[in-house]
Amino acid sequence: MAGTANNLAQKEPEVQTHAKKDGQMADIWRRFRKNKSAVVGMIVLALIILLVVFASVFYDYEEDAVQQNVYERLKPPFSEGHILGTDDLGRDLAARLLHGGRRSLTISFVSVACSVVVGSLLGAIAGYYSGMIDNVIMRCIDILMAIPMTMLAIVIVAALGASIPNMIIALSIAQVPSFARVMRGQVLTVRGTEYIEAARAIGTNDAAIITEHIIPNVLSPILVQVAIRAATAITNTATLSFLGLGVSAPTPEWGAMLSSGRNYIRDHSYLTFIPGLAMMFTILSLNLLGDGLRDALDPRLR
Amino acid sequence: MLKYIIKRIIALIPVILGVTLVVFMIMQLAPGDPARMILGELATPEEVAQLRTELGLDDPLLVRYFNYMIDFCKGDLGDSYFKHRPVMDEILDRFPYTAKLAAVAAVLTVVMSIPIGILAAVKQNTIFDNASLVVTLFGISMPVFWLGLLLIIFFSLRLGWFPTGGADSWRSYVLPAFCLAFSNMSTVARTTRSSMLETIRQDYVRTASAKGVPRKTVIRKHAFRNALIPTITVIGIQMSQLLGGSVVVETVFAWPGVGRLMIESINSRDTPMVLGCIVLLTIVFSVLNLLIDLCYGFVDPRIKATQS
Repeated sequence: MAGTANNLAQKEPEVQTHAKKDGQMADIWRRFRKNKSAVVGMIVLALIILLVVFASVFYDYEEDAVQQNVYERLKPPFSEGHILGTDDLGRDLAARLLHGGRRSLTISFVSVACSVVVGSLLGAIAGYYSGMIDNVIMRCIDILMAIPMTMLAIVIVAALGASIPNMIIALSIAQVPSFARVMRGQVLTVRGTEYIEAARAIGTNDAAIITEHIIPNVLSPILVQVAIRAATAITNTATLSFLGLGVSAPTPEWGAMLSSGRNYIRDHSYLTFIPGLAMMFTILSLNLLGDGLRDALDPRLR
Repeated sequence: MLKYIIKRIIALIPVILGVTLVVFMIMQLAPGDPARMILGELATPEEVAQLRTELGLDDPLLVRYFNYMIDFCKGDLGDSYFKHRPVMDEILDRFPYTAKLAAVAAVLTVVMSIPIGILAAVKQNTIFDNASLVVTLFGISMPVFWLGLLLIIFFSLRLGWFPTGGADSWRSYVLPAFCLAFSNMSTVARTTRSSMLETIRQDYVRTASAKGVPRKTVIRKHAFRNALIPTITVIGIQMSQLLGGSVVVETVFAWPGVGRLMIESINSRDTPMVLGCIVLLTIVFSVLNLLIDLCYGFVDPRIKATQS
């Protein structure tokens, strides 16, 4: 019996730490799950991403999305063989929608990913070191923020030329300030805490402090920002294409499809309606997801 | 207070300098020779070289930037490559249109979304509240240009109530202004609603109710003003985004404003015009932000104290 008691006593701390760590994640997940609209958003987004990633399974790129077919042009939705109709060059709209979604989502998500990395790093460095470095970095951020985001992206793409890599570069640069600011604010908050003081007292070097202590604890607001920025990135990507500064024909992309559909808006309004609907649902689900994440991660409710 | 205002205005100057530098440098990355573009395909190399010297295109980058800034301070933004007019004149012609559209959109935002937000909060969980939540959710998720095209489809082409573009009569303002304002209205209405909900739960509101003050007066005198503070913050952010949105809306509705001028100039590679548009819009953007920041001082006495 004494042996068992000893065993129990020895096992206890181990069990506790595991339960605590799992508990936090499970807790957040549970709170997120309770929020029905957030879950709906997540499911819809997952569905859209799946459809888009497996676009080639449904429609071959060359055959359906790019190949022009004059005999089949401008067929309305629910026509035979074309569930969403065809566009002015006879290309199946559903095929272009799925393949175009690939481009739109890729550009948006990759640009957000780049901005998160660069912006967070800049913000973390600025917040952690303060002083001159902080000043210089924040002045640059202020200058970038002084230009409305859409315009900044437009100017960069205009200068570099319209292509997918340039769009990603432009959008990344335009979004860096938001992440840098959020990160800096968080770092400033965390910096004064005791465990950071302790780490410094032991002699941990700065890079290790930033990567091992600060960044994991400031992830929550950044995550929420990611969801929100992804939504605006999709709009901005489409805006760039809509203004003629995006992908070049015949590459499908939601904004470009809207732009070319504009010419047929009077009699074939579905050409503009359908891609926009796809965009809206993606943005909607991202917004719901972001709201849900924010509520689930909110420390005040814990 | 005045010192604070002056300090903020002075702080604007390096930002504007920085913006002009950044945009100037970005535009230099654009390929193509402006002199050749102005003179056309048939120009001889000597003519092109002469024009390049005249326009100062062969000077080092920083020298060109410096000259540009000196002219800028004199109010001269250069001449358009294609329109054969000074950039400043063209922009000044077009700016009133952008300003008017943005103003109408701003008024629409404030006038419509704050009452809706308050009403939704006061009547929480009723049909009105739920409907407003759904509508505003769509509002913040809809791409601006798609909304514009939808409005054109339904209200211009199908119903014929409003023109599809241009800026002729008061009717022309309705669709573009609504399009520009809709996402802002949604955000402001939502913020007002949640801020109002939070304020209503505060103790001092309960105390006022308990004292016997009629509900409407409680809302008007106590809850409303305090709930307004986050709302004004959001309105401020939205107002500045109106400028960015105007670029798209002006293109969709063929509105003769600075935003559309910028897009046209980009497509025709008219660099001085693009530079001029961006610099002007950025200055307006920054001044607007400053004004809104100063407004906080009037609304929230706590901030006023820290400002002075």
